[in-house]
Amino acid sequence: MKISDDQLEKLLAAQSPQEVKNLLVQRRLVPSLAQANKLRQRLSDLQGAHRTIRLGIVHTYTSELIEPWLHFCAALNQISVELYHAPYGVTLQEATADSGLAAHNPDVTLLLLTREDLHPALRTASACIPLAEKQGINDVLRQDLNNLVRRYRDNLAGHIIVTVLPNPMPPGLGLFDSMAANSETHWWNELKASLASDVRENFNGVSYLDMDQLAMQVGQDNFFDMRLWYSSSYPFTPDGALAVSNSVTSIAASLLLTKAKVIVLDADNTLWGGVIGEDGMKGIALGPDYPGRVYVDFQKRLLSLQQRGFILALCSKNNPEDVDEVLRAHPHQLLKHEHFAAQRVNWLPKPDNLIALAQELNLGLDSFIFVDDSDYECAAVRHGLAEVEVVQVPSRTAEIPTCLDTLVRLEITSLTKEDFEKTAMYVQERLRNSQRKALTETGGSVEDYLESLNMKMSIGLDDISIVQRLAQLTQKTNQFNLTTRRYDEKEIAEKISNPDTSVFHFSITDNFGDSGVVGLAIVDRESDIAARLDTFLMSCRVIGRMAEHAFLYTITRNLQSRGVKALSADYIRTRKNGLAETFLPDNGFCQTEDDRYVRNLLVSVDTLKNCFPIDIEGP
Amino acid sequence: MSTFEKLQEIIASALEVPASMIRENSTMEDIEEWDSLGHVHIMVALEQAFDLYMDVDDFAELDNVPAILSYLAAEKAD
Repeated sequence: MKISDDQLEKLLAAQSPQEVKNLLVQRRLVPSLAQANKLRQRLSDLQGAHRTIRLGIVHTYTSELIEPWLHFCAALNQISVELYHAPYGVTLQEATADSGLAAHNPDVTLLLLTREDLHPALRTASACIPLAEKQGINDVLRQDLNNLVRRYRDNLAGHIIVTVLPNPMPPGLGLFDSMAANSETHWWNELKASLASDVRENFNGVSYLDMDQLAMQVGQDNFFDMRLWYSSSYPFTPDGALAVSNSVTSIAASLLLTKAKVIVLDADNTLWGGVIGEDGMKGIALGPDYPGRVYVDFQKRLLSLQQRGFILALCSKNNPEDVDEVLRAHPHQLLKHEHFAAQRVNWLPKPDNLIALAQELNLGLDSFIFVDDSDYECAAVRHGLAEVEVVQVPSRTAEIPTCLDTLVRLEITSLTKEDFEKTAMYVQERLRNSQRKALTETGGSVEDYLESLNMKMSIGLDDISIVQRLAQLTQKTNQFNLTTRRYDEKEIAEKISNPDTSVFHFSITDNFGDSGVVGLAIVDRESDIAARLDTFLMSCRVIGRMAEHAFLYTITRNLQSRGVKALSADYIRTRKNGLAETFLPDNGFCQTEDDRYVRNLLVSVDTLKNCFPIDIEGP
Repeated sequence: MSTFEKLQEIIASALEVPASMIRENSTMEDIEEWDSLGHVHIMVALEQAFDLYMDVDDFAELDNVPAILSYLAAEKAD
């Protein structure tokens, strides 16, 4: 839809980039180049100091014409980009340490490739290639792309995005193509799935962006401008350029912005239509008809977000028993009690409830996304808790299911085992807390409680197979983190392969379940007898179980056995890591004159061993 | 707003230069930012502003303001 002058005025009056983005997406508005430039100006004024991403583009087709759209989408996604375009068509030469690209020192490198670049056979009509030859072509093609990405990965820091231009032509066999044994569409789809999984399995910090999906969303005919493709080797219409730019800058922004962790949901007019306390089980809109089906779809979307690794929490002004009945007994309610890591169903002010939820979940409010339909509640949270991102449920019902899709903080670039299981972990934690309460109320001590958990810690060293999770821990852990040094997957992989650096991690099981990998320590060997604790962190989900002491104990034992006599460490104070402030002095580290800490490993540390009721298995 | 004034705004925005730089007799040669990439931006912006779907073979001749103005006048007359 074109943007009228009146609509443009409204967009220019918006108070945040997210508001502009929502209006554009939900009302299906596509700005003209002139409007995009105007809006971008307004967005940069709104935003104040933008965080800048250095973006390098390697391309085998014209990429420069996408620039205004990239800058516009960057502003929508609350960043700005500094661009470098590699010389046209140069791919391999840029993958060296002394290339122009490397000199730009990109945070994100975008590889814009065409199918023809992947294999010469793709220059011809697919239908002309005998089925029997396709497997051989696939093998060579996958190997070649792997080699290309490997060269970039080895020579560049930062994130890499690989994307392949869709075929602008309809499939060679026309309407019959999807039925044909020699179908072009099926061949490419299978090949693409292999390429994407190769990228996931073989590389760290590399994304495969599926441009076919973007073309499908925009509509193939609206995505490509064949006039510009033939005359200037530039494939995109403004709609196409916007879709590509939005995806690329969303990935970039998701790497840069504070990670979201929790989606806090209102119930009435958010998870279902109507008010349960007034309309009752039969009266609320939730089910196969309009408008109930809108809410069913929204709940489906929320379950998918949970699969991305975000945890869901409920915050509703209602009688608890009313909400409980819907969660337990409504035939079309998809979100049940077990899907919510925590709940506050009461009549207290919502900002107070959010603070309580943050405490219960042990997570910072700046990782919260609050979703509510009410003007009043949204304003109360915006005003009272500025660090919480507020999403108001759209007033047009049909826009509700996708209302969280424009948030870049809900995009992910990797998915670990721990992400899938996150809500289950919080539910376990709730059970642990009830056991603790039951024990202490009957006169037991905290030690009795810890003893009763039957904790077993498994400590590993330099394990490349979990590099994604280790990088994720440095990115996400804020509270129990001595130095808050953030590392990407490539940097962690380098530390793992460096013989002078040891990367320790741990997981812990108890009667309630397995925590997954929740702790990380990086130790640099400085000399034969000295080492430095570069990083020591632990996910907040295991705080309060003495795991940090057991972890440090095992690390120092390991270092001792390798001849290390002194371990130095730092505590770098941030707004959030007060929890770790006394950890070093509590564990035998002495403060030095230059405000660092050092521990003499010649003094036996075995006395500390009985402090934690945890069985340890490790190096 | 006259067609020229509208055009002036469109060209200036596409090239990211002040509108005052675009005169009734400006040509691609006069304006540094009006290079081959800038030219494609202008053509795309023209299409959007005047609801046109142009022939790419016309792009090359439209490298100056008078040519664009007479092109627009002819399109309007059609």
